Amino acid sequence: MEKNVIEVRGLVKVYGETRAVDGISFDVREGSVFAFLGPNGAGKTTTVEIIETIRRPTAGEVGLLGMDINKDRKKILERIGVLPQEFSSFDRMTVRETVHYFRQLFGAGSDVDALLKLVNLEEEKDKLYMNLSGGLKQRVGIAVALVNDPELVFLDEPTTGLDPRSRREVWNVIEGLKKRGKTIFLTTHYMEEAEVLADHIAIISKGKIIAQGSPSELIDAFGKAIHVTIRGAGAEIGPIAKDMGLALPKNGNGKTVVDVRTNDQVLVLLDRLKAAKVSYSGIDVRKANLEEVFLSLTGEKLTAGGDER
Amino acid sequence: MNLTRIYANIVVNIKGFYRNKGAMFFVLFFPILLILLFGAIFSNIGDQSYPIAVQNKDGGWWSQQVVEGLNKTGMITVTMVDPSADPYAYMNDTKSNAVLIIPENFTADINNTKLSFQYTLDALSKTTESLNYTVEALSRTTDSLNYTLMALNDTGNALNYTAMALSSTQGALNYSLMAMNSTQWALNYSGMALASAPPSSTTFIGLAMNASAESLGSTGMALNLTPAALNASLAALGGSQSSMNATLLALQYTQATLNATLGALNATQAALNFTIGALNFAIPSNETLKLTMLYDSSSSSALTKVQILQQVMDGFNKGLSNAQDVMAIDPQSVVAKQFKFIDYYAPGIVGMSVMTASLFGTVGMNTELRQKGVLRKLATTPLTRAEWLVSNILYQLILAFISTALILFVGYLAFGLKPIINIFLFVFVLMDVFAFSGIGMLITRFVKDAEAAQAAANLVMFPVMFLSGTFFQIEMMPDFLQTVANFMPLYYVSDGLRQAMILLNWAMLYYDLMVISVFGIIMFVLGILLTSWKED
Ligand SMILES: Nc1ncnc2c1ncn2[C@@H]1O[C@H](COP(=O)(O)OP(=O)(O)OP(=O)(O)O)[C@@H](O)[C@H]1O
Ligand SMILES: [Mg+2]
Repeated sequence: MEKNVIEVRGLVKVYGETRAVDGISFDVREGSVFAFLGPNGAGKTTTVEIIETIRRPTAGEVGLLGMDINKDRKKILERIGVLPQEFSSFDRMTVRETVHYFRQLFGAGSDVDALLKLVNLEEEKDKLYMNLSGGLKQRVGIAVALVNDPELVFLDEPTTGLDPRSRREVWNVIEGLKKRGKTIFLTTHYMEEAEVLADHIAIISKGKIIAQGSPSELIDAFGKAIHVTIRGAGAEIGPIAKDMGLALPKNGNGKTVVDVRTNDQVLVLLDRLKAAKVSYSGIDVRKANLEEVFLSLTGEKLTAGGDER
Repeated sequence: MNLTRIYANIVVNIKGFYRNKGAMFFVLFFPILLILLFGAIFSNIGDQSYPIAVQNKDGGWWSQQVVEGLNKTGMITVTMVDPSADPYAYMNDTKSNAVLIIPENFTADINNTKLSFQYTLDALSKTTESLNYTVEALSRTTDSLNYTLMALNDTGNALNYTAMALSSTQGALNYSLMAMNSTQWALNYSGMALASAPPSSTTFIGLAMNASAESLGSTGMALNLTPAALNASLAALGGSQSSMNATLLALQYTQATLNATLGALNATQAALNFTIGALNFAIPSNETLKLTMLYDSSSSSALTKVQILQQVMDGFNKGLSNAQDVMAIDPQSVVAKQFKFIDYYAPGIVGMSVMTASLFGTVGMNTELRQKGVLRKLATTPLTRAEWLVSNILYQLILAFISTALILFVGYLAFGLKPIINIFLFVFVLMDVFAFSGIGMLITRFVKDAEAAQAAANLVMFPVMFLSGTFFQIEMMPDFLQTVANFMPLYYVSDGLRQAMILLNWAMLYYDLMVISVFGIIMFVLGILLTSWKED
């Protein structure tokens, strides 16, 4: 049973000169985690908020849970949950009061305490929102997004600005939601987040979707290289690579990285190193990741400042 | 509109307010601090808030009463001006905005007026008396006319009786005629009997004797009837006579009463003349007694002074017109209420506090929630814009009324402030909230950044606060600023609250109410129409 809960066709949003969203189309399957991956300003939030009915598209069609975003706004809002980008709430409400307040705004929905348990905030429930750490605030936001027990949850950059530990905790919560059968529409500019959580990824850049598929599909299709990193070796690797017809190795930080294209080439490289008696202190072999997929697709880095690992 | 959502919103706002010590301080405690501060400052200076210069050209008892009356209001300090000075020059030299001139002969004129009132009163009482007599005379005239009518009735009766008597007499005469005929016949037969006697004479004589006998019978009857007829005629004549007597009597009576009525009318005329004379005396020159007030009409405090003066004058007029003993007027009772300086500025502090709470409350809430993205989140819930606006305005109103009650209560505890609590107090506070929440909404509509919006609100607040007479009376300011003050919405709130709680000058109250209601409702409606959650 492959049912689409979101169907977007030819969506365009223009702000003055800027084509923030430039004719994109995609589907989101029921029960899946769909990741919208792209750098700052790519048009992720614009797209998500159009689907959430809080912005109007310039052109294109959006079907949502079988409804029309232009006509069925009220019904749609009752069935979706939204964590806006940079979610924030009333400073001087406690966690429980906050969730309770948003619960009151909807006529029907989930039990507040059960929600707090779900996002693992039971211990903090009496703390004021303004005294929470960023990760806890995001979890409050997720709880708030769930108050009406929605079928479809939009999470716009749920982990941006969080430390790695908080990020993992949020990921746990999202995985929990997925297990409960919710469809999740996630936007992020962390490729690792997309890789870990998503069933399906759409990569967006400058308002256009430049690739989509499952994480492994994308890597297989667009990852250009396998990286062999050799630590503690000298300049002797350069000629070997050259001899194999590979690109010049990159040196730095006591490491030499040789990019090869196939698994066989890895074995050949290792054999050559052994034959040449190259001394080294360590070798590791790593497949291309989404970061490189993006780089190879756009010639740009996904996140300023490089890999966030 | 969903009441649960509105309620939930109000609760969130109130909890947030309660937990925000800074907001609590500014909305609730700062105004209290202000009123205590003001009270402390002005309790030393005393209550001499409105100086009025008085030029007393009279100097008599009554003029002194006026001066004393002004002093006792507690809102006015009298400075005396030399009676020979030029009041205009004085105003210029001393920068006073009001000079009251008590004219020469003020006391004498009041006393004369009093005297002439007395005469008038006397004349009126005499007029009343004569009117009473006239009424009496008229009632007597009616009586006599009644009697005359009765007499005429009697005369009619008598004439009827006379007619009956005459007809009886006629009957008697008829019978007598018949008797005389019969007697003729008897004489005729007797003659024939005498001529043809003796053979047949016996027959004729017998006939004649019969006829004579018949006529004797008839005559007898006639004679019998005639006295009765005469009696009846006599009786009838007697009746006529008595009725004529009665009529005569009645006419005499009527004449007497007409004389009396005439007398009464004369007396009334005399009384009216007396009254007119008295009235002429009372208004010797067709002019009411006048005090002259020179004032600068562009200055609102001068207007207030005129109002106070008017109240003092009303008090005197009341005393002069209905008190028995005018000399006993108590100058303290001529003004309805004693004023203290706190009465002046407490309404100003209420108006200003409600303004700042509404303005900054609205600006703060709108910009903060928008900047933090809470509005964006709310846009994804079923909460409607209308529900959100309604709950916000209700929240602002709750704060406004709590703050107002606190200010007045502290004013009462610390300085014995006793405001009149009426519906207008609520309406002015309501309009204050409407106007400045509306302005707050407009500011946040056009100035998106929180700090810039805060600055814009300050930009609105400071001139309004200082130019509306909250801290400084506006007549202390230069002319052009006084003109500006007339465009300050808060001025109408403060003045309106002052009228509603203390002065109750209805004309000014309604004027203030009209201005601020129009302004408040326009701002509020504009604010509501232009507020949006989405930034498209
Ligand atoms: N209200 C707006 N008015 C004008 N331009 C806008 C508006 N909202 C977004 N844009 C522009 O549209 C483009 C896409 O913005 P959007 O917020 O959708 O990107 P994003 O992918 O969510 O980026 P980020 O990772 O920073 O959240 C940007 O160039 C942005 O400047
Ligand atoms: Mg975004």
